Amino acid sequence: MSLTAGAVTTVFNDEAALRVALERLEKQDSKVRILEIRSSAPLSEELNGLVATRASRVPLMGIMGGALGGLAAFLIATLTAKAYPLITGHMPIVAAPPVGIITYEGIALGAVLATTLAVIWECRLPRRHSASAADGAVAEGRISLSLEVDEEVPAQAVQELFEGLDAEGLS
Amino acid sequence: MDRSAAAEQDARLLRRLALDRLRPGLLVGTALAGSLALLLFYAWGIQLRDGIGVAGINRPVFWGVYITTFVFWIGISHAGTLISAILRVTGAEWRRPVTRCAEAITVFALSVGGIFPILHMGRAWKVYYMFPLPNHRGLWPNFRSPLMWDAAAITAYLLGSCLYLFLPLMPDMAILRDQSKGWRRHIYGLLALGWRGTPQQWRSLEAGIKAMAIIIIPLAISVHTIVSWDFAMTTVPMWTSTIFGPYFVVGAIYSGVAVLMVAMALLRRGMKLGDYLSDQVFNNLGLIFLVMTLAWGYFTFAEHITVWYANETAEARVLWDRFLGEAAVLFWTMVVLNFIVPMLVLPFRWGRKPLPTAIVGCGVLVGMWLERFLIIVPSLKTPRLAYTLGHYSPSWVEISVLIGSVGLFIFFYFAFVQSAPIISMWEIREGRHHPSGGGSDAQPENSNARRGVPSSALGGTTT
Repeated sequence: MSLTAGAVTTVFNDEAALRVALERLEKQDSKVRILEIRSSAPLSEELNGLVATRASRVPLMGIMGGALGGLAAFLIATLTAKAYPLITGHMPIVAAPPVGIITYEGIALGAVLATTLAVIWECRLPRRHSASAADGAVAEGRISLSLEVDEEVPAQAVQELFEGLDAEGLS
Repeated sequence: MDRSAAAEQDARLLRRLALDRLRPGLLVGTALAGSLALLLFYAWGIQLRDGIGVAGINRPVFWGVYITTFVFWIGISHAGTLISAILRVTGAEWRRPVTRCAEAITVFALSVGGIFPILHMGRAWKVYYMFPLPNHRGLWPNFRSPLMWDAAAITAYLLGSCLYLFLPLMPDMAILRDQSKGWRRHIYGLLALGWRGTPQQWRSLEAGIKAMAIIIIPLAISVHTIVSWDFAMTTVPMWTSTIFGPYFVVGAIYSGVAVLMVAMALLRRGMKLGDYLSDQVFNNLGLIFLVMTLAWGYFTFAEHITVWYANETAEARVLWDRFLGEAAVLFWTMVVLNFIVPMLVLPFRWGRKPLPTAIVGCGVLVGMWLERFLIIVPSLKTPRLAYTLGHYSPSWVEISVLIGSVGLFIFFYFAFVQSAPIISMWEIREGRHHPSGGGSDAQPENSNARRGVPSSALGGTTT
């Protein structure tokens, strides 16, 4: 593994090796920071304590989207009725049950759209994919760990992180 | 499983999906299906040129093959997203190779089904009357009509199903992007949207998929309930029924499972996906198929026994037309295909193998189309006022459109199979690492064996 100050990328064959590396990293000084972990399948939640992720707001956004969608559908159904130039003696042209059905579908549509947009937003997508050396390995099912290493950190210290592990350094 | 075995599994799956080369058999199938689809557009063109009179519908039978086929395709669409969502929500491990086959069916069946109301309108260019825009007469959509509820529900379901298919597809597109070259890499890169597979991305995606699955279930049920209300909200004999909503939903899921069984059997044989679409998967889906057979039989019996016992004049006329009259051949064919044959095959383990389930599935598809035809036509041709008795026989235009719609669906499906992984690669990998889908409630590796899922289905050693 070649070690220079800057980014260091290592690929692991399995999650167990990554876990050991992350545990070692946690015990070290903060001169080495995690830049990015990549995998082609979700990592188990047992790694949650070692890998910082924000709680997802997708379900909340879905609920909010549902509320907005329902309101929009309700307004379309009721305002559409008002748009008819008919004298009805203040009776609604569209009765409550049909308005309810349209509102229900609006809730579902709003929730679906908001959920999708929230996923896209939280994943910071779409964005241009810059090819990296780890792409192939990740696509094959391995897990890549990119670290940012300060200049004063000796190469030996970084090497110790991966010692004895089923890992391969890429840069 | 060690790393090299897992890598070999992944490579084998990719080879079998054959996204980097053309499969002659699939190409021929796509071309044939495309030719059939042209029949739809040719017949539609004739109808646009000469008017709706070229269809066999006339007073009092205003709804015929077009609406029958519309209800049929909307029913088929319940194969995928609904079944996939239920399996995801319940954490069924064996779902992994099935979900994408199923979700794709939904998207394409809805796309094909959505054409039929426009076809049925005759003057297709007036379709914008259904959009919430004031048209040239200053009219807005008539939300009192169940047909408008259809438009709202199907739009929501189609959009939801497309997104539910697309979200879990992103990581697979990223895998393909990083393993391919040239123009394919570019296309897959665009579809992956720059996906990298960071823990944060996975967390958000999984939360999104779970949320979508929960939203999709009531949405799918509402879609076919609303389709049933197109009928049940009228006073036409044998349409005014309180059980029409659940009856239609059960029928929809039943026909959906049938098409899924046929599609999976074809994929398994054509793409040699037996390691993934294993006998165990067919057995599990076959059990669902059996339950749906019983549920359909129960609803059909309940629907007819109450009409027979009440013996109300107009309804009895329709009922006896189905039992012993002009429609009797179609009715009893439906009963044989939808109930007798499945009950002779599916209760047995040998009957829940790929070939028997596919054959039963084909029969059920024909039977379910007949069911919709029998709901619509006998009721319309014998209305409450007997002086308006009518007759209906489909014209060649309607038959061509029906056949063309099957071709269009197969064309879409085959084209999808050739361009995207029909089995979710990342879900297979996830199942190999932590079977319950990750998370703190992850099951031990050997839990699959306990659940009857062979390791091969999750990427284990195969024979």
